[in-house]
Amino acid sequence: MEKLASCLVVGLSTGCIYSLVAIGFVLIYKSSGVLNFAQGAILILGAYIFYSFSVQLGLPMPLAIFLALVFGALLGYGLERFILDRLIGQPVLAIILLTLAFSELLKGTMYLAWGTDLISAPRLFPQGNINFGNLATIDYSQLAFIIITFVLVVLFAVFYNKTKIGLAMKATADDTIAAANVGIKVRKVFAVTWIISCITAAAGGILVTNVMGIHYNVAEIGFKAMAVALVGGLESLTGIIVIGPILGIVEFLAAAYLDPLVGGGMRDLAPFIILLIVLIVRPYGVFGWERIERI
Amino acid sequence: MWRPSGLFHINYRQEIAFIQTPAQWVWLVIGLILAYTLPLFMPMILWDYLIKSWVTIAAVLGLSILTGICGQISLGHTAFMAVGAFVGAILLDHGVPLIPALIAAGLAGGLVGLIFGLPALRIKGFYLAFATLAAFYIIEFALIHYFGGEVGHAVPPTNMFGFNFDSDLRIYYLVVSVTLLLTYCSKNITRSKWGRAFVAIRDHDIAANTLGVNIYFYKLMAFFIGCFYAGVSGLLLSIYMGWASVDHYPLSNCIWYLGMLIVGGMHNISGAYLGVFFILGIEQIGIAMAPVFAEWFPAKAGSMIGTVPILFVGLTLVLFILFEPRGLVHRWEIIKTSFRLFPFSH
Repeated sequence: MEKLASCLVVGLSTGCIYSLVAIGFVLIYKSSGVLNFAQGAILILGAYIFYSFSVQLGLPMPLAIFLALVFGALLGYGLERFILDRLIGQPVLAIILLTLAFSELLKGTMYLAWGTDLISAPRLFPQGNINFGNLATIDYSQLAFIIITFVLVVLFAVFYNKTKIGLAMKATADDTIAAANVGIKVRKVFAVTWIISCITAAAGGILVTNVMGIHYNVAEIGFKAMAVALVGGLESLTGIIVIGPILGIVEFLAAAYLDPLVGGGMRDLAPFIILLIVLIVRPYGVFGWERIERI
Repeated sequence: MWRPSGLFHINYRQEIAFIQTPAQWVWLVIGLILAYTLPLFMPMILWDYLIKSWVTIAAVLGLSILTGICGQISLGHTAFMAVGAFVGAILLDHGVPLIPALIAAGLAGGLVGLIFGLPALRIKGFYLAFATLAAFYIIEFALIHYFGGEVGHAVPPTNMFGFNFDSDLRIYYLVVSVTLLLTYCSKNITRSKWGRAFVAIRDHDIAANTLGVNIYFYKLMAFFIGCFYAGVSGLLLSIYMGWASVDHYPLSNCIWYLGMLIVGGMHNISGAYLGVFFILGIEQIGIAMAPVFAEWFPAKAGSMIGTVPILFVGLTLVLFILFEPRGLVHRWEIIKTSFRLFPFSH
């Protein structure tokens, strides 16, 4: 029982991070039809930048976080300006391969700049935990993950539904050409989309490496977030906010109950198995739109 | 298809002949002699590059049928190679002769590919790419936990008809022979009924379906053929390495294989050759340049050899996709045409 409760708590907080990162995928996909496989590498790059500013340069923590997020924004803007420009309308394979090659480039650079050792990130949250009557304990950092994700998602929902640029993003996602025809600056919307998605990636990276430590292999978390996005449905923001925590919980349940049976490693595998099943049963994701294709 | 003027076919056999002009015969013989004598002209330090190139060509040929001709993106290709390598290594260890082991490795890769190709019946594009990525992780997990683990299997020295493959040069002959055979097969597949069905599916699968192409059957067959090639190539690599281990088949290689396909030219069998030799050549240049970079940045000297080749290859890929997405074959066609038309440019 205790095992179950702790799985639920840890899974929920990890899943929140997946949702946070997956928002980045879905935003870019909705607005420009590009699926950014480099998200995981950008995530870790954000964490490394944060580490450099806070530990190697000794800047105060909030400033370091702010600078890392600014770096994420600049990276997103640069990517949009120099790469996305040529990618729109290209075949799917070119998009996948370009973002994957870019992610390998980033990983190589990180390997060169920060080495291969697992770096432990400076603690953002005080140590300690809250007990729920012997049943479950929740770390302060895990609690913080849930709260931060919740706050960011609410902020993001307000931004997306109430502000002018958010509505422009919504319109562009719906139909790029129609949006351009009614006077929305589509290029500007694309830039904002990429900036937001890179900022969420960097924020997710700073959060997740606080627990896992910084290493360029943590970039595979980007793939898990992508699994969340695909299971939830690439068109649906609600989908990923719901599916992220569910997949996180399933992941830890699999690690706790299946690992003894199969000998370890289930934690990283569970999201992919669920993804394959969902793709075969419901190809457009749980909350996605079923598109009817015509010739 | 382009033919020199004055060449006429008077019966169907000439129409479907594999080699049609005398010039092509000459090129074929020169190419074959070159393929088999290449290591003799090269310093021994490049033999590793040569063998790995030919092994990779076998894998990329499969990928070119699956992705280039049939349009089904696979990010799990190296996992199917690992399946072939493991099955082949276990069979060779039990004393099975080489040729049955190679076929069994191919069949094992193909069957596993068939299973993980099932999602392709309902999804395509990004979804399919990610489904094959998931397949990579699942296969790797299964291999590590149930079929020999991270240590892998030793591959015993092999022989065929009393000819021992014990030196690098002899393994080179084995690899070249198998790869040339596979090239012949894939060239023939692309110009058969199946190849035309694959192309129709690539161009528009629903349109192909309305024209009476059984897209479910042909998509699965594309997966089977592509992964058959992967399995054979995986076993070849493990024979060369003397060891079958999942470490030889990392995920990043899937990316580079797809990259070779794009750099060479997706829709052409010869694109696989150009792409592999080009990208692996760039990698070799990266390895050769690593000490130079290490001199420039002494603080990071230790990690240069592992990073510089990756950065070189990654950068080449990004530049190719941005500026020449149709690949080297396309560039070569342009050059050939301008030569043929020379002093008149139109």
